[in-house]
Amino acid sequence: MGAGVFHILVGIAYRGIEAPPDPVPHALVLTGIVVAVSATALALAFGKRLDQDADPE
Amino acid sequence: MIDTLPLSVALPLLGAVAVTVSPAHARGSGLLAAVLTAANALAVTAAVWTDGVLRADLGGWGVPLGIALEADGLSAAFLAMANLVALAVSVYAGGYLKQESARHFWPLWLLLWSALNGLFLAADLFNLYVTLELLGLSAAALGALTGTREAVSANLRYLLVGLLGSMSYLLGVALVYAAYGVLDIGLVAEAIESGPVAWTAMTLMIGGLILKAALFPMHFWLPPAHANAPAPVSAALSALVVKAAFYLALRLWLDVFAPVLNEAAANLLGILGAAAVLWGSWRALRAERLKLLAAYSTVAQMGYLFIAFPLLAATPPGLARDNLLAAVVLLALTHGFAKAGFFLAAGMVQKTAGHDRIDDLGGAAQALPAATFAIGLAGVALIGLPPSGTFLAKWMMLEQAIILGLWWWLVVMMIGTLLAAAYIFRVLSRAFNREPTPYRFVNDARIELPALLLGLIATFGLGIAAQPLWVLLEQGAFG
Repeated sequence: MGAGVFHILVGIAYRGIEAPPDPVPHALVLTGIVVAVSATALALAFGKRLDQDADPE
Repeated sequence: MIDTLPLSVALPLLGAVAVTVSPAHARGSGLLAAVLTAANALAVTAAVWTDGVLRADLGGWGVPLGIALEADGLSAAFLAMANLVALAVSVYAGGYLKQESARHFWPLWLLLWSALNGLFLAADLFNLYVTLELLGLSAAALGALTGTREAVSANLRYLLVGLLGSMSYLLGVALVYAAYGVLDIGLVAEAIESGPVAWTAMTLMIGGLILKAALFPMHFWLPPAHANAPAPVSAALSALVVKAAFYLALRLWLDVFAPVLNEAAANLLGILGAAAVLWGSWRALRAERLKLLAAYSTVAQMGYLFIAFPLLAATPPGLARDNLLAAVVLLALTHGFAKAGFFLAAGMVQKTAGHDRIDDLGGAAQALPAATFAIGLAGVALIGLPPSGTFLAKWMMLEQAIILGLWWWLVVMMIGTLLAAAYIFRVLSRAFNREPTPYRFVNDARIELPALLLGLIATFGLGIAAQPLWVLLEQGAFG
């Protein structure tokens, strides 16, 4: 879902073959990716914790 | 005075850095940052009060490229409430948390606070997305601080639901940008016109937000996440974080999507709100634990806020609509204070008694007079008895519903109020059981005062002195 939304945003930046692409959506995607990565890291940390709790020594 | 706007985001952020760098002094520097932030936010509110809408373009970049912060009456009202509650929560946390968990609490808490202030002040759709994500991230991490299995799995679910909500919101933002090429709220509002793009964007954005605001039937993540967090965190999550999503939905509704609204969408939100009121109140009545009760009560109270959307849509612009809007904001603010007070008091009960099972609360009134009194005060505001702000707000909503002939909302609100009275009195009746008590007599001003003060503000402050809110909202929110 995240990747799809980012692709749409990159697609929006297209302004024709001649014109340079619009930089604003690229900045948005970059920010979005940073946020998504940190969220994934947190989710993985939670998942690891749950896994550790699941099988006691 | 223009500098106070970026400061309300920067101060807690700096505080978060400070407590991370020297965890040994986390409590001291955390509290200092909390006091400074709250004072600054009140200065912003006062400035909006006297000078009208404030705007700051960061780094000197103007519209449409720069990052702008803007405070109008609506933001200022929410900002003041959030910062007062957050200050109380900070003071409480200073006394409540043990050294070990305090070290992790302060950085995350100040980050959350920073994101919250940013969200209330941000003036463009994408920055709202960033603050929304920051808020969700820090809230999920804070909620899992207890480290128990229930807390971690509940917050993993919360995090994933929050991500889904923000992605849906971001897709809406992408559509808006593709169609109109601007992101600033004011510019989008000027450019927007009714059509399939605007409808889709609105559905995606509001849909993502109601997922985060835990509107029925998307409330499933809230009760476990809020009930298993440490008490100061539950208070902040329930009183502030879901309120932020609601604030954003209200802002989009009023400012951005005003031309494309129709009654069907408003009625759908209202029906979901009504279902939330009934279901949340019922589950609160059946809850076995005090914090679970408070969490389900949050689901119900969020429902009331969404019932306002069909009423707002059906009311023609003018004095009646302004009053209705102010009533909704008043309801949201009162609930923020009351629910925070309730959770803080519940935390005291849990800490002293070692549990928060409602059936075993006998004697709590003798052992914990301040906590029980705070629960009672917050209860008055949650039920909506006079003189609380909720009473005033519900009264105005009911009056408007009668004038519009929409009597079914009236029935829902009445039933919800009755159920709220039932679940609050269930707690109080158990607490006042006269039993020999094994509890210590607890008297710790640092954790008692915040809960009491929040309850007092909710019950008396916002009820008797609600007039200033109208003055504040005239700054850009009425129209």
